[in-house]
Amino acid sequence: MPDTDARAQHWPALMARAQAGDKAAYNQLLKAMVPAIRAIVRKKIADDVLVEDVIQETLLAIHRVRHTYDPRRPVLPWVAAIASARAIDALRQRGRQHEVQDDDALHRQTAETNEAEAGQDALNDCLGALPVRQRQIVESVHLREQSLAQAAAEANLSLSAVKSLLHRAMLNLRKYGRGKHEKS
Amino acid sequence: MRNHDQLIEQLSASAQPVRRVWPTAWRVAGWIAAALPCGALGSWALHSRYTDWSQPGALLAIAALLLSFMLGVGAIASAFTLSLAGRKPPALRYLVLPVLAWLMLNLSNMTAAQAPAGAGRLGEGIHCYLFMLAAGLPMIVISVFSLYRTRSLFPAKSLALAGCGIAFMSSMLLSLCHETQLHRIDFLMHLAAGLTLVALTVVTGRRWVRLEGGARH
Repeated sequence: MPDTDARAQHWPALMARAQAGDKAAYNQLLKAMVPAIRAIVRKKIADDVLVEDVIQETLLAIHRVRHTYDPRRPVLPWVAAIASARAIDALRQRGRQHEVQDDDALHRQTAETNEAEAGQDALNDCLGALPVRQRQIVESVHLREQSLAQAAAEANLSLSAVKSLLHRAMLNLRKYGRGKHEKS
Repeated sequence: MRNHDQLIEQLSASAQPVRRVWPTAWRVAGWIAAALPCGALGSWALHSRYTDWSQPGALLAIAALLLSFMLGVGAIASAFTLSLAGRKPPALRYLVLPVLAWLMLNLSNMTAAQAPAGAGRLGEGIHCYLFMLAAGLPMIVISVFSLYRTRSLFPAKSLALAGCGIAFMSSMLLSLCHETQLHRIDFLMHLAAGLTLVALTVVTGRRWVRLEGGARH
């Protein structure tokens, strides 16, 4: 990554300004880092969707531990360590997720409901059956197609909290769908 | 390729000034300044006497005490270094030699000791075990708190290293109020207490030290 190395020469200064609260410098830095993060993550993960998710998680992790960066040191090893760890975590998690995972199940659930009830009203009914927090997360992730990381940032929650809300929403939707089928 | 600009806008809009983490040497110094007095206070109730340094085996005991302190400092410094992304602690093989030296010192001090006196020794060993746990528990809290500030990409390793540091520091405190010579059951209980402290540190700290992607900062 010779190009990245050359560009990264300005990053320590930008990060120092970001640590001091300079929002513009931080914005510029994060945007500049995305291609480098993508290159690092792609070395470990082939799936494009997962790569983009890991990029977002890396950005969130960088945001969370930005106070641990020492501007006297090169920034790329710091970013690379975070991105690699996030990529490995994502791969491990994917390996573990043989059980029903929120996304697919929720899509399936929503699709089934739409077929049965034909349309937006049915979807609204379903979502209306969910508690407010669960509904907001489902809307963010599945209707507005935000990533889990984006939904977490928007709701000011941790990723695991978002996943847990989605999982509970899925269970509730499934229960709701079953109840509907039994009635009809 | 997804556009991450929206997330970046959110993150940069919420970015407040942050206080940089101290250099590792300062963090270790701070840890020692906080953990040793807290450990000593925590184990005060189990403190029954001061070591009589005129007893035989005192030189070996002093050497073991100094090695315990050095190993404790080394392990804590490694834990703090490892918790910073992109930083690697000095290779663990450099710690192996002092650990072996510490073991040899204790073993040689043990073989010179008189034969253990059965149940009485076991009671003494349990006292040592409880002393080390009582001294180590406040140190665990301080270590987890210190690592919580930086989080770690390798929480289990960082905590295990911190646990080793705590175990050696507790052992050092114990040698200030222990016979200079060791008995076999005693020493086994010291080792058991050390392992318990490492396990407790990893188990209690894992949740707090793990770096998640949430945006609560």
